[in-house]
Amino acid sequence: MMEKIFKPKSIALIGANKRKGSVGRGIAENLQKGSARLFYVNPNAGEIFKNKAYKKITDIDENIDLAVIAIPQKFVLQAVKECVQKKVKGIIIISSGFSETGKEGEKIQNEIVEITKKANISLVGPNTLGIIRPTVNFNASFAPGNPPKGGVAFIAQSGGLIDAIIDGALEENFGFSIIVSVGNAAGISLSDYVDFAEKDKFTKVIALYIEGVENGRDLFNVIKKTKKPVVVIKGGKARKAKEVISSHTGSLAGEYDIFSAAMRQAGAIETDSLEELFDVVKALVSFGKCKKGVGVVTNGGGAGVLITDYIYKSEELFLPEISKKTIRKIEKETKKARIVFKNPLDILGDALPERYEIACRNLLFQENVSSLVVIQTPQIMTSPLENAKKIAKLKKEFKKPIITVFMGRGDLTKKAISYLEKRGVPNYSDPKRVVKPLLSLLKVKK
Amino acid sequence: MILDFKKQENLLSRYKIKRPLTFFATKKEEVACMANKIGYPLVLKVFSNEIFHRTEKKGVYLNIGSEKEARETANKLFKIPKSQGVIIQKQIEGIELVVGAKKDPSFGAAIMFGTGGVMVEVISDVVFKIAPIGKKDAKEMINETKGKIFLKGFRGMQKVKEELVIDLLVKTSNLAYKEKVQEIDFNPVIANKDGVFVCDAKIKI
Repeated sequence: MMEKIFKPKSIALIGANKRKGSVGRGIAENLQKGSARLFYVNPNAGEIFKNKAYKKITDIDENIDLAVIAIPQKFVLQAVKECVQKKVKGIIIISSGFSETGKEGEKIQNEIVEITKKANISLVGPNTLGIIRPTVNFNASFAPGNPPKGGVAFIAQSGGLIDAIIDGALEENFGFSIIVSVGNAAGISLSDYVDFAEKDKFTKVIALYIEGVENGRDLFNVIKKTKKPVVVIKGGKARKAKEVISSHTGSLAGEYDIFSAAMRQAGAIETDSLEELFDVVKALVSFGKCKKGVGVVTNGGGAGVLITDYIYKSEELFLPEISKKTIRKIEKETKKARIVFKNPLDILGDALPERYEIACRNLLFQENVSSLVVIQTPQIMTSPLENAKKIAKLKKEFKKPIITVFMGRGDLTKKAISYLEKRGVPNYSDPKRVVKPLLSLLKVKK
Repeated sequence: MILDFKKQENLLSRYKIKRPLTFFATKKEEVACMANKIGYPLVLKVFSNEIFHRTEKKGVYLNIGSEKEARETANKLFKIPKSQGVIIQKQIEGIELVVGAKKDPSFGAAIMFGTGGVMVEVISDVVFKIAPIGKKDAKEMINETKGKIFLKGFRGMQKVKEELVIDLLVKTSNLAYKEKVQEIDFNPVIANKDGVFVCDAKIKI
């Protein structure tokens, strides 16, 4: 059912509008990018973008799979009733002014839920930014820009956050399979969307922004069931005014404590910030399950010392010793006597792309090295793009995760990072940021 | 409201949750006989389904060493406002743990485990899971606490059978999941070489 409404053949936009800056126009522009047949509905009728505008959805002769409603709240109920009459399969209510505003809005929302349920119509929202599926060219939202295609399903309880993340994604070189603003989730629930993402063939990783869950048990069960990695960030962790605390358990078990425990138990990865969320997502999109041994190659001593501290502190990851066999091979191939063979392997400031490649390849060959972190500090003889090309080549050759820390923000470095990330090698600007993604790879379900 | 003492005991025994030898006196005159049966030292505690924190009401006395002391203490406990009876319990020593459960409005029954005692909230060495849980989950919970080192015989302390702690966690999670209870508070649970015992129990319905 959800597949049908999120990849509709025909769409009616109720509240289509020519006016610049209007939501109705924003959605119309986004919908036009898709391949579904599009019908505009506006009570003032007339013409919109050289297309006929219908007064009511029921005036349209063709069958309609999906109705998108973006009109003032007081007209929504009537529009929904007409959608039922028209026998649409799904409705997205963009309009706000429902349960989020108080009792009166909630009453209308409940009525809409009842009507749509009875007619077996899927309901998205109300109070939502909409839904985007870049992988099937479907954009029923008023989000700006074109989110790039990719393997991330982002399901969020905040529309504004989605806008910001779409904007950021363009720079971060990752793409989306599904973007959902759940809104008030009066019909389709958060758990339903997770289930949909699990079944969606384009989705590799499910990322969630959650403020509150009405039926946590359902969410727990659906996350537990999914084989795809789920990454979660929770907003609103601070404790609400306490009720009369009557027991130890009562005072220790806050709403967030239970949420966090449930996510962990279900196998989801919880992050502290949006930056961390997408740091983790970037790694999970590119790589499968991996073990605890991390090999590090660096051209700067300090960065190597820092990453050693972070990996040690993680208590789970470790830096395997470089084996005699690996040492022999690197020595032979580099003809370099000055290298001290420790992990992190400092290949020195004058390392050229070739030395990077030799060191990386041989570490990757070592069995107890399950993932590789390649650090680059920009020195005068460093060639970031050439290094990036060598690393991207290794990424193709090996199944083991390869992550880079190209430090600095110079033009050459930026270009190299973009080259790497477009080829599935996630880059992090700080050695500290590799730890959480590496830990997340340990937890991937088979 | 707190579950009545008799009902609480029935519920705990139905789930085979172990307690130290415990009697409940509703009259002053019963105390001495019960105390003698248990033997000394013992613990006397007030019970009321309106009192949640016994310690705060001066309702807990440890190290009662004789019949005379038991009688005197019982007199005090029966005078506490809203007192409905006195719990007479064998005093045991060991490592103090806390086991709890709560019905979360969103996630349903959840179980808690950690380092116990009067300072649980201060130490806050507790972990949670959604109920019901199996043995593997229970073992994970133990390993996630800092207090796990105490269970393994820390600095000459007596070693505890971990599987008995696991067993208690699984049983408590089942109770919390299946029964109509709002909160369960077992604090302290005392673990020693003889077993794992729920010394103080409160069940909120």
